[in-house]
Formats: sequence, C-alpha cells, structure tokens
Amino acid sequence: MDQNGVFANLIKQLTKLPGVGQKTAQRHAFAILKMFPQEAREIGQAIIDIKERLIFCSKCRNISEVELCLICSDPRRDRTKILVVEEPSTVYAIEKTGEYRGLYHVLLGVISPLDGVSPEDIHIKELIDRLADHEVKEVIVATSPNMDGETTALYLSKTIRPLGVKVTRIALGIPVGIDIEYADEVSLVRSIEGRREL
Amino acid sequence: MPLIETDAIVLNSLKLGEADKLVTFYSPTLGKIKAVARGARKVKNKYGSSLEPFTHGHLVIYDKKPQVLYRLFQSDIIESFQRVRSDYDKIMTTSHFSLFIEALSPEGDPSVPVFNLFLKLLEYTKVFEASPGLINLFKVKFLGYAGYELLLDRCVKCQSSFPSMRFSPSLGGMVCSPCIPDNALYSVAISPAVQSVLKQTFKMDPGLISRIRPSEEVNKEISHILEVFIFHILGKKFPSLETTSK
Repeated sequence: MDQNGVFANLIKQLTKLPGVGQKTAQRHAFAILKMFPQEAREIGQAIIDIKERLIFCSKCRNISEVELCLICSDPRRDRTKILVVEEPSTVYAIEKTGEYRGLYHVLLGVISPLDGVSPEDIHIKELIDRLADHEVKEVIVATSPNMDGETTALYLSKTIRPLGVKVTRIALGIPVGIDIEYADEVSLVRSIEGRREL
Repeated sequence: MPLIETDAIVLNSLKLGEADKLVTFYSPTLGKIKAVARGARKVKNKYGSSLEPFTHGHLVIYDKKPQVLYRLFQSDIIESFQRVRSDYDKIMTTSHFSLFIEALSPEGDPSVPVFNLFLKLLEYTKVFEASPGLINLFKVKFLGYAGYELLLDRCVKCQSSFPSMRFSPSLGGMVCSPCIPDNALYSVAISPAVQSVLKQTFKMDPGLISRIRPSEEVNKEISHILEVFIFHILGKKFPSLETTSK
C-alpha cells in the first residue's frame, strides 16, 4: 500500500487519538472506507464543528456552542451550589448520573507545585468573581483525589471560606464493587474519615 | 529481565499515555530512578495510592536494560505521609524540597544519607510545620551528602585562614582577598553567624537539624548563598520556596 497515499494518511491521523494504535486505526480506516460517502462526510464535519464552533462558557468555562452554556442558562438549576471540577469531561460524567442539579465551574487545570502550576494559572479568580453576588451558598470541590487535586481543594477552601460560603469536598474512599480487604490504607482512612450516619 | 526489590520515596509523577504514570522515585540502593506504572490511572489499578508524591514504599521493579526506564511491577505503602498531603503549606514546602532533590540528584547514583534525609523531613513535616529556615538547612545538609559541602574553614585556593574571607560559588568555598584578584572572581560575603550555622548543619545528625533555629537575617543570607551556589551547579535558577508556594 502507498505509504503516502490517502489511506495511509487517514491511519496516521487516527493514531493521534488516545487509545488508538496502528491496528485500531487501520480497522477504523477500513470501516470508514466501507461507509456511505454521506456517513463519512458527517464524521469529518463533526470533527471540524467541535474545533470551529465550540467555545468555553463565559461563566463556568465548560465547553459550549454559545457564550453561556446550557447549564448556566437553565433557570431550573439550583443556583446556590457550584461544583468545581478540573476538566469539562468531568461535567459530562457527573451530568450522566442525573443526580446533581446545581451549577458547575471548570478550572481547566489543577494547582501543581511539582509541575509549577500556580493558582493564577487556572480559572480560580473567575470562580471567586462568581461568588460576589452572594447567591451561591455552597461550593463543592470535585477535583481528583490525588496530591494536585487535594492541593487545589485546600487552596479553594482557604480562599473561599473567609467569604462566608460553605466549602465541601466530594466523599473519598473505597470504590463501589470491590472487596474492602483489597483497599489500600489511604483509601481506607479516607473512607472512615468521610463516613456518614445510616 | 532482573527483578529488583527496593524501598523508595515518590518524588514526582507524570501522566504517561492514556492510563499510565511515569513515576520518579528516590531509592537508597538505586538513587533517583524513573519507572513506568502501567494502568496506574485506571479506577481499578494495583498500585492504589502508593504512587502519590512523598509516599515511602517498597517497590518491585523490572530493570529493562538497555532501556533507561524501569517497569514498576508492585508497590506497597510503608508510610503514606498522608498528613503531609493534607495541609496546603506542608505540601508546598515538601514539594519544594522534593524538586530540589530531583534537580540535584543524578539518575542511578544512590545515597543512603540523602534518602534518610528526605525521610527525616517527611517525618518532621508530618507533625510540625517546616519553616523556610529549616528547609534551607535541609538543603545545606543535602548539598553535603551530594558532594557539594561548602569549604568554610580555609581559603580553597591557598589553604590559608584569613579573618575576612568571601564565598565563591564557582570554587564551592571561602576565598581570601589576595586570591580574588581585582574582584575578578564572583563572590559573596558570609557573616560569622551564617558560617557557624552552616558548619553546625554539615556536622549535625539530620534528625537534629530542626533544633537549629536561625534568625531571619541568617536565613536570608543562607537563602542567597544557596541561590548563587545552586545557580552555579545547575547552570540555571532554581525556583525559590516563595515561587513554589505562590
């Protein structure tokens, strides 16, 4: 097969996606080859659209097609709560559960002293600005349970608490479905600390 | 493919690929090493929280020579130092020292005293707040262990002892005024108080360093000496504790 041809180029482009190696890219390329032209065009157009039409919501920094995302502009949302996440992908994961009805704030990163990322490098100032109207009563920090996520959570707590807003952290501990004896000591300690009354 | 078992402290970790981590450890038998932990970012992974920075653990690794990176097979927690990671200021000071060790330790050059020094700092920070002055003294102690002990008693060029000598970063010790012709050699003044603190730190057991309480002026002077000396060793500026904690 021509290594510089259009088919080889499609394989090369597909391998840029996470989790797609040479073989998977080849399978995808053959699948695209078998599609109707209109279907293939739709895939191509969808890729172009997310790059050209998606922007960050001016309020919460989630991805959106309009200046104010669907969540921020929805009047049925609970405006007294803001759930803080690292990336827009977390908003998608939480929205899929259908359990949370408040607003979001996407930091687009985390504080990382080991990687030289300081609070000024992520969207913390925008979050503080959103608290100025006193409508928000609780900020729920849902950053990852690793050192960078914890550092960010501690900084947010230190900065937001003096403003009179309640700061909470999502529960940390043992994942659902595992045997408790296999949990590591930090997860066990965290789960005991975060226990709730039945 | 030999299997190696060693104790180690996690210095840092980076995301690698889709679900892996590239973890930097400091081991008393292997020195600074980098190991790939496959699947470490997946929900169900075999490493648990053992790869979080500052964790003291027991590792089983594959030495994949001639590849530079080791492959992590197993990691068990000896001491998690979770309390250090639960306080913003403690995270900042310990991260700063961890970055310092990472920057100044060549890969594969083991030093038991360096490993024990970091462990001592973690044990101290678990209970107390490490002041910027104490972090500076730990850095000074580390320099001694890493082969950069400052020569403070005599002039490093002529070996004579003069009352008013200056510190030369490029020579790694004190130099007398006749040995600095026309101020051609960059040097900084060191007060007798600082000289005494530095000498004491080099001699002292790492577990007792926290007993030295340098004044603010002494600490400021030590910070400056460390800054110019580290700049000379690394060839670039090492971020200050204030920058890390910003």
